[in-house]
Amino acid sequence: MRIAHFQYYKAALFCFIALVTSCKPKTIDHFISVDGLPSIRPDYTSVTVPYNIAPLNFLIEEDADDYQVKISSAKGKPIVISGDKTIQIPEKDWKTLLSENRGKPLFIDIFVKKGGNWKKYKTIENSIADEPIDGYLVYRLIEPLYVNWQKMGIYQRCLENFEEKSVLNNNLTQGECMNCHSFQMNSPQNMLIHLRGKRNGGTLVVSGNKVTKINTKTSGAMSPGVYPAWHPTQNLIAFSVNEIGQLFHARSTEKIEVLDVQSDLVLYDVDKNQITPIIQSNKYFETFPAWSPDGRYLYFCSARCPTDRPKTDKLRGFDISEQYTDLKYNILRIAFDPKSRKFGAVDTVVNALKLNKSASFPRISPDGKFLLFCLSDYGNFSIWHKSSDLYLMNLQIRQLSRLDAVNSNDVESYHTWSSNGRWFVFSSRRIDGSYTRPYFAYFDKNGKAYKPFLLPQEDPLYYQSLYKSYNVPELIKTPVNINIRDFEKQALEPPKPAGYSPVKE
Amino acid sequence: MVRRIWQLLFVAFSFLYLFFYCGATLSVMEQMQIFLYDKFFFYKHFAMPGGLLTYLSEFLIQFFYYSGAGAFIVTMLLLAIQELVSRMYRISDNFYFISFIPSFLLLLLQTSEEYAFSNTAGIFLVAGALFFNYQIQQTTLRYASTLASILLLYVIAGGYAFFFAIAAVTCELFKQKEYKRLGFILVLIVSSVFVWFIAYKFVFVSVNAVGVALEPFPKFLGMSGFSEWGPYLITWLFFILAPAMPCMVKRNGNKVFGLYFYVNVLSLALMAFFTVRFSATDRNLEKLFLMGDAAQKNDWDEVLQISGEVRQPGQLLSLYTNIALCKKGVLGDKMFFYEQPLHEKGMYAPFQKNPIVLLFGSDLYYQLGLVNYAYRWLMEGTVINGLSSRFLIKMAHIAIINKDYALAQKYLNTLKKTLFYKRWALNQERYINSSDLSNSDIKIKRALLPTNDYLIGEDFEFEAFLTYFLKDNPKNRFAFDYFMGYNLLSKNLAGFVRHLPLMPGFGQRQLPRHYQEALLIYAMQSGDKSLLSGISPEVQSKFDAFNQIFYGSPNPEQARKQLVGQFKNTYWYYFLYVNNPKAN
Repeated sequence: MRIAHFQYYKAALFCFIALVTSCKPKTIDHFISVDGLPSIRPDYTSVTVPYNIAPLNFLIEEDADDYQVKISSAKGKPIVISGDKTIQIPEKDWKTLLSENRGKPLFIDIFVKKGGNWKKYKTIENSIADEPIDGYLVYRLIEPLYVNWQKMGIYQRCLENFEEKSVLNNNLTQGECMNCHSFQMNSPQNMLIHLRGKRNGGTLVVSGNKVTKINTKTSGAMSPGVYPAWHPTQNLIAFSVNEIGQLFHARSTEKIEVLDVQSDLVLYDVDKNQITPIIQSNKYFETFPAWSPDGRYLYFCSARCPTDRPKTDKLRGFDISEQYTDLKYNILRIAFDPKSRKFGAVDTVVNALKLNKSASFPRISPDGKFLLFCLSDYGNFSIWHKSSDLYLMNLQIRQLSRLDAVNSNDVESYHTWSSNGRWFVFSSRRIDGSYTRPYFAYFDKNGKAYKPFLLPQEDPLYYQSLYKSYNVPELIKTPVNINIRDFEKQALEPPKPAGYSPVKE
Repeated sequence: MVRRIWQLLFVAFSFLYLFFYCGATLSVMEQMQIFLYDKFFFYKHFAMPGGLLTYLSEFLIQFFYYSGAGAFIVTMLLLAIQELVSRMYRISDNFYFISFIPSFLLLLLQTSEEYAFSNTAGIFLVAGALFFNYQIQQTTLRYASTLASILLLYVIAGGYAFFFAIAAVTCELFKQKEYKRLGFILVLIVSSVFVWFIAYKFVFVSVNAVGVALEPFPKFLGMSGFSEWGPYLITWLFFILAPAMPCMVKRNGNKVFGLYFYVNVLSLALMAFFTVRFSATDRNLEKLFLMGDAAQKNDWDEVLQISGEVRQPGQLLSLYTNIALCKKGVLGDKMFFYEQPLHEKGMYAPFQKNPIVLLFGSDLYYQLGLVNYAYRWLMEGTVINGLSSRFLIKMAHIAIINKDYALAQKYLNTLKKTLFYKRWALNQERYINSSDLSNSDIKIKRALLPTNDYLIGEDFEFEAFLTYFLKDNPKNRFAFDYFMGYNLLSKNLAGFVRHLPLMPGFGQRQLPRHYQEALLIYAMQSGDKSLLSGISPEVQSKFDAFNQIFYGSPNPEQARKQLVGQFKNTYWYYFLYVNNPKAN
């Protein structure tokens, strides 16, 4: 009887071991080598990734009977995944492998089995950077916008895993529009979100843990604050105020043209709840403010208005739309003394007009050495311009270069730096020419940018099913911790009017 | 047995009514949504309460592609609701017609293409849950089951769980006798509030408080008349108040053709009558969708045939008629053979935040060759309406014309995940990156595209726009004919004459009939006879006959009565009398 029992347990043990070992993918020893990289979606080949990024799941774009993928580096146990063309990498193993191999290469070997034979593609060689990327990305999800909107929201995505949370959405704000979220030096401690609309319009300003809704439209400015920039150290926000028009292209596949009819710059003092002008001019447009990290310069884009008609003339907009390709923005900067809060002299940093181009979205690297911006054929709303590419200026030697490793044939637009300056995120329409997706690029100390990678998703086919664009991607170090219900409460409150002082700071 | 006969009659009425009378409405519902066999589509539904219910409803609506299948599905669901109501409230044979009230009301609602079919599915679930719980005889078990039902229903059907809770309260109050039921009612209310609170606080944190309680109930905002929201209200009140109606539990074994038989006959007939009488089916909208279907197949004869059946066409129907005439190349010969009550406003639809207007209004720009602007309307419509097969098909087509192949592939990939549009999408894939476009509409449309790029405003003056458009691409015959038709409808003869020489082959071939008619009026008004060389003797003699009657009559109104028979389809009659009966 005892012997029989023993036999029984032995058989059970054997079955268990067999089961466990059968689940573990076998190493493929016999295969035919193929000269060439496999086609994978998203394109995660030759990219540099931060060690704290979520797994770069991908799809092998080839029909086969079986698949195996081996992900390895200099140290540690390789990750082997097999059976399906959709490669979903175990988060824990991925994290371990990347943290153990900072600064080292990351290899991906792809095997596919067809007609009983395995073939192996050339090894994909990526790099693991030694520097982390900020942990969270904040963006608005919305359809590529014309005039109407229905559902939209501002979301934060943890870059170390796949968790996405709503910061605020318009189901909570009676369906009204929201955008232009902005942070002070990649920190959600001081941030703002614009709400647009007659019922609940205003700007939600977060200072510490306090949320206040402000009406930044004052008698002294043509509009409420539009494009914002938090001062790096002070409770000040530079805003552009813009009168914006939207038109549609008859032939060009760029489809939409967004134009400023007029624009100026103002400064909002969060503590005083007061707006003062920075630059006001009839002959020039000023927009897209951005502070230098030391807070001593305010960069912005400026273009000469193509018409001499005054701001009050109704035909001014018509004239501008007739000459829209002549609208070329340069990047200027105005000196600022944080102590006295006085603005000083203006100088031109990028003379795009000389290149017959137009610049937008200036962003200074956290070390203050580089200026990253978009250069397109004309105008400032580069998200609809296929000619828009990312350019870099070395501010120390004022040398301009096109970031060839980063750009594509389609739109590259809105971008922000990671707090350590080693990464930047930017919007691109390179996948389908219409829906904007966020890409991340490594940027080394010498000012060299590397091939970017698409924000990874748990399912690599996610973007195919997503009919919304990622709008205004902003990197932040820690998550926005304001409860969504607190945002909701404040969003439904009437806004506090900001004061206006015509005297410049 | 008699009950089965009533049910059979209801099934026959509902099916035939839906199939023959509302077939196109069911088809519209199907075309204005999309159901994808895709996990992301499934997950997306869980962002809102009642996501599973809307998912299941959309699953069923996809079969409305065949209006017979749609009529069958709806009818079976309504029959199931009736059977549940009948059993749940133990409705007697004598008052059996009462059990049909919710089903008839839901049938009435179903006649509107804007109806949220998920409401019928939600009512079915509530009726099922009520029936299940009130079959349980043991009180404690029933209490436990009712509480569990609230939670389960909330997971499946969101706000319908609270509707169930209210109906369960009245069931307990009126149908049960134990005193402890009052305590249970309190527990029921507290539990409902608790479920809402948990959902509000921890599950649907991105949804506002009202949405957490009510989604996916249909929204009354925008519904103006009682006929629009009344049927909803009566249906819901029925479930809440039915337990309080004591007559329904009385069971009589009357003879088959007794008094109550006739009460049932009369009541059911009345309900059927009211369903037909107050039907929300918009016949013109149905015609519009049928015209749209034919247009999609480039079957312009079919479009015109449908147009001929329309009485009092609205803006979109007139637009489609004129597009079809233009596509057939007979706008100048036939446009006044069709009703043109809206004058030049029947040539375009102004931009509105209405998906139907955006969907069909975009077709004008598409046919003109201004595909970017058509795409803009479709994108705006998609934003308001949500993804739908109808929008996606058009957007994919435009993306191919524009050689936006990656974008076209995205749309086609989505359509490939549907049951009924997969084949179409696979068929269109051959145009991606293809230079072989023989016999395709794509090739024709590409030839009509504007030759230069320019900017168009959000709103524009249609005449100025057409002038500019034509100037950019004078070879666009469709645009030319359309522009001339616009001038004729707006009675702008000076504009018509000014642009006539732009007509391809002008002076070499005979002018279209209505053009000749317009020229004769122009010559008469202006005295300029230089353009009269192109007038055929037939048109000239007809014009003489028209004038003879007109000037021979004592007043224009009497002249109209004589002219309408012979000259109703001429431009002269339109010029003088359409929307201008007292013209002098």
